[in-house]
Amino acid sequence: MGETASPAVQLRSPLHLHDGLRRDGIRDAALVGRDPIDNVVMMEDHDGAYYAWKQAGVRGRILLHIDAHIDWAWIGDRDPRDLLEARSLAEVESLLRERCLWNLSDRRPDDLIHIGNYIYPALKEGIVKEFYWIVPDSFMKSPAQRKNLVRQFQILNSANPRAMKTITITDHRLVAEMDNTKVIACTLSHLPEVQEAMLLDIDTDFLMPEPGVSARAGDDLWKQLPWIWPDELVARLKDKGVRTDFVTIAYSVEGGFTPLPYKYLGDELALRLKHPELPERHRERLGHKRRGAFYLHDNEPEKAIAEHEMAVVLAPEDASSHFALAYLYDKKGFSDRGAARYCQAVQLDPTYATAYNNFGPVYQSLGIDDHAQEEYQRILRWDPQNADAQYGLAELLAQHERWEAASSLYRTVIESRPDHAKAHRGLGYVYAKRGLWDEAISQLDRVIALQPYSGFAHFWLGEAYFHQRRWDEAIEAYRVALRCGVRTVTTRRRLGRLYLRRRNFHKALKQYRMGLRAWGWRTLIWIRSRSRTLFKRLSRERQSCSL
Amino acid sequence: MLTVDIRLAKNEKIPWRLIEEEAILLDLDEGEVLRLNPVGAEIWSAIDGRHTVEEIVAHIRRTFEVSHWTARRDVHRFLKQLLRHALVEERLSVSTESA
Repeated sequence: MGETASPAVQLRSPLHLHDGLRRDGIRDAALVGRDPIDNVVMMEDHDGAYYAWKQAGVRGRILLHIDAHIDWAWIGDRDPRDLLEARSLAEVESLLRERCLWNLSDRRPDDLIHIGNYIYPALKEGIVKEFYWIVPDSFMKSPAQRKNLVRQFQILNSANPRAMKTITITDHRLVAEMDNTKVIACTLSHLPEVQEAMLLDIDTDFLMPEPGVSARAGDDLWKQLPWIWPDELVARLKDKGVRTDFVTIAYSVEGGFTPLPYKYLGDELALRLKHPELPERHRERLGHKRRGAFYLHDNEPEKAIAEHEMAVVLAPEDASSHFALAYLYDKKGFSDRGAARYCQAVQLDPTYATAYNNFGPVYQSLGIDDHAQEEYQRILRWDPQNADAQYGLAELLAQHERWEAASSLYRTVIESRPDHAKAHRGLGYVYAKRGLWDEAISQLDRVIALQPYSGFAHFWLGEAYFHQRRWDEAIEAYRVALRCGVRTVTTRRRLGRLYLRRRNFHKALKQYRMGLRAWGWRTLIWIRSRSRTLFKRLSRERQSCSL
Repeated sequence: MLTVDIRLAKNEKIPWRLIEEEAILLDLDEGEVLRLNPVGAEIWSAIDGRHTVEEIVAHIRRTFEVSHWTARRDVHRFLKQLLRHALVEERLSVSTESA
C-alpha cells in the first residue's frame, strides 16, 4: 500500500462544503444516476476521504464504501502514557480493560492513519455510524472466495479480539460487529434498502480485476478490461435507490491498485455522478476510449490507436489518451512516437510520471522478473533518466545478487534524486550484504532521516553494528526495528544473543522464547500447507488407483 | 552481583508514576505495564543513583518497621528483579555519574 501523503496534497479540490451539505434526510439527497450530485471530491490516496469528511463537518452517517479493499484496520492510537494520568488504580485497571490498542511506536496519531485504515478513525470519531463494504462480485462467487473474505475479518478479529466478537454470513452478506459498529460486507446486488442518504466512498480499483491475480493467471496487464464500467456501476446504484449528498472517489494508482491506463475511470465516474445526462462531447470521447481498450484487449492495436487518436482530437488536454497511445505506439515498434506521447501525458498531468506508470512493481512483487524488467526498460526508452524505473532495475539486480551492478544503479538514482529513500535503503542493503558496514551505516542513517519508522533500515543498521561489535548500538537498533514491526526470528535471536553478552539472562530468554514462538507458527503453517499438498496428492493417487 | 555499596539508577526510558502508594511503570520497548506494590514503590522511589543498596535497605527497615534481615532480603530480591528487567542500572559511584 502506498505511503500516506499530507492530506492537503491529497485533496484535489478545495472544500467549502459545510454550508452546502444537506443532512436533513433522504428527501434532500440526490438519487444516484438520476439527480446531479454537487459534492464529489477526488483524491489519489483513499485516506483523503477521512479528511474530506472531517473538513465538511460530516457526523453520524452511513458509509457505502465501494472498494476492492476494506480500508479498515485497528490503529494502536492510545498513548500508553495516559495510564500515568489516571487518578486511581481503579482507573488504571479500567483503561487496561478498554477495547483499544496502545501506540508503542511514539508516532503521532495522525501519522498512523493511512489508506488501509482511515475508516477506523471515521467510526471512532462519529463521522460514520454504520459501514457497508461493497465488494466486487467475484469476492462472493465461489466458496473459496467467500472464505477468503471471512479470513480478512478473522485477521482483524485476531488483532483485537476484545473489540470484534461476531462474524456471521447470512443471506450473502458478511456481518461483523467491530468496536460496537455493525459492518456489512456484500456485493451491490445484496445491498439492503437503506432509508437514509449515505456517504458514497468509491475506489477506482473496485472496477478492475486484481492486478496480482491477473498477472499470476498469465494475463497481459496492459490488456485487461474493467469487470464493471463506471456507467454500469452508476446504473446499479440507481437500481438500488442509493441516495447521497457527498461522494469521495480515490484513484489509488500509487501502490499499484488501479492501473494507470484506467485512472481516467475515476474521472468518468465523477462526471457521471455530477451529470447523469452526460453531455454529448463527453459521451463521444469516452466511447472512443472504451472502444480503444476493447481493441487492445482483442489484439487489434491499429484500431485501438485510431480510437485513442480520435479521443485526443476531442480532448487534447486528456493525459490518459496520450498515455494509452504511448504504450500502443511503443508496442508497434515506434518507440520515438511512444516517448513523445508519454512526455505529452506527463506534461498535461505530472502524476503520469509516477513509479506506478508501468506494471514493473506488480510483476516484481510476484517474482515475474522478466516481465518486470521489460516494463522498466520501456519507461527508460521513454524517459532515460527516470529514477523510479532505474530503481526498479536496481532492485531486480540486487535480487539476483548482482551487487556491483545494483550499487551502481542505486547510486545513479541517488545522484538525480538525493531524497529517494528506497534507493538509499537498497544501497545500504547491498553494502551490508557485501560486508561494507561503514558504507551501509551511512546509507541506512540517511533512510532513517527520511523515513524514521523504516523497520527494515533499523534492522539492517542493527546488523551492521552487530558485525562491527558495537553491541549497545546494535541492541538499540534491533529494539527500534521490533517497535517498527520487524518481529522476525532473526531480530529476536540477535537480541537474545546481545542480552546474553550483557549477562541479562532474563531478557535473553524472553527474546529466544518470542523467537521460538514466531518460528513455531511459521513451521506450523509450513507443515500444514505441506500436509495439505501431500494429502491432495495421496487422494489423487488413490483415485487413479481405484480407476 | 549485588553488593551493599552499589548505587542504582532508574532506567530513564521507563516513564512511571506513583498512584495510591503503588508505582505504575511503563516498559514501552516490551509493551508492558508493571505495577509495584507499596513496598516495591518505596524501593523504586528510593533508587536515585545516589543512595547505595545498604542505604535503601535502612530506609525500608525504618519505613516499614521490619528487621534488618527481612528488609535486606526483600530489597535485594526486588532489586535483582529490577536489574533483570533492565528497569534499573548500576552506578558505580557518584563521581562516575557526574562524569
